[in-house]
Amino acid sequence: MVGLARILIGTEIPNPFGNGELPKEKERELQTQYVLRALDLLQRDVQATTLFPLMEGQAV
Amino acid sequence: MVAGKLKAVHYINQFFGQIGGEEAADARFSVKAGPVGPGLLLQKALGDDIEIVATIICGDNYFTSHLAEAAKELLELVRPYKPDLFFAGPAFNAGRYGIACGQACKTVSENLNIPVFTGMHEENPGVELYRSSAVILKTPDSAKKMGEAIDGMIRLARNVLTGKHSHRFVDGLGLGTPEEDGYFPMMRVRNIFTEKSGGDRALDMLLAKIHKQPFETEQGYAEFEDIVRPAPIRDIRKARIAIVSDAGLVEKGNKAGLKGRASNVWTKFNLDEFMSPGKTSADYCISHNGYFHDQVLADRNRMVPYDIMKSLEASGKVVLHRDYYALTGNASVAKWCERIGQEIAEDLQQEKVDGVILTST
Repeated sequence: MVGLARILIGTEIPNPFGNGELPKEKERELQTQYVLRALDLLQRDVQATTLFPLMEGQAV
Repeated sequence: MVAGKLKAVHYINQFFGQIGGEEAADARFSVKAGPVGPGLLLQKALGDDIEIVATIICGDNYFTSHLAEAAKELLELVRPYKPDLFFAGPAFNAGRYGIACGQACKTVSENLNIPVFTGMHEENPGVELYRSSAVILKTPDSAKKMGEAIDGMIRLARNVLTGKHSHRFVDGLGLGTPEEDGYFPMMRVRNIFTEKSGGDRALDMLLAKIHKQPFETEQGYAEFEDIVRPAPIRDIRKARIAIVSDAGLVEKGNKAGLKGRASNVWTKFNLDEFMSPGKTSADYCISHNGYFHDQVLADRNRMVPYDIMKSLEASGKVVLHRDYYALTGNASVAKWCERIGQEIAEDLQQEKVDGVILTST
């Protein structure tokens, strides 16, 4: 049995929790968003393996 | 030996070679003339036109603990017989024996260019490791079905020798499809002769689908069991959260030996020490062949979100587990992933971890 229940779409394959093209402060904001979103998803009930965007309502 | 008779060599382990059980699993290679143990059944079923000229025997522990060296030894023992065919096992669900049979078949096939056959149960780890290198018959899990397994291996061998299905395949091999001949798919694309072009066949399938009629895809998909979904965390502020990553990010030197692909190990580090701000990219190693490492080496927080988690912990919003778990998720064997996942999960449970952020490339 392999798999995950909640999948948060990262920035890019080589840097899912960051973006080296952004200024440092902006990247830190982005990283904070990602971590808070991941923590939020851990509190969500899911019925099946579910893909989530960074922002609620974004297309996946 | 009758002129024109084909020669076969058979590989078996210490148990079937009648040397001993587990106490003899470290036995080195030995060779006996003619068939031994299950080889007697194999010879009887092969009939008069194929003769098992020798049986190579080795302990499971020795073979699997010295895989590369053992493969070379085996090859030098098989080569003088100039066989036309090579059989190994069948290994049923015996893991070490399956790996030995698979490696034996792979080595003989690659070096002597002769047909090789073995048999295993679907849960034998040798299947995933060697299915692309050897024709592996699907067998039951127990040697109680030895006769059935031997008959199946011989059927495969006869199909190859007689070219039973060669008129249907462009490659001219006598094997049928895995479904027809009962062997594990070898992950090869084989071209077949068909009356209709691919376009016509695709159109037929589309029309069948539109008219809700049955059709069979020519491109199958791997099927995985549905996972048990973890319950949501009720109070995240009190929850202990661990960071796991399959990006292969480890310390310089890679002591645990994570491989860049098809890795079968995991390791863990004290997170504060691992992410110490005094460290530079020279202190790390990324054992993963599936992505460019520049972004992570420039700032490892892009893969292991340590600094943000620490600041959230400082403000009482979460509890960060002290260890970071590392593995490599690239071209992995599903059964190994399952085992690694179970081992990490057991460790996390012992550490009273409530949730995990797993970063993946």
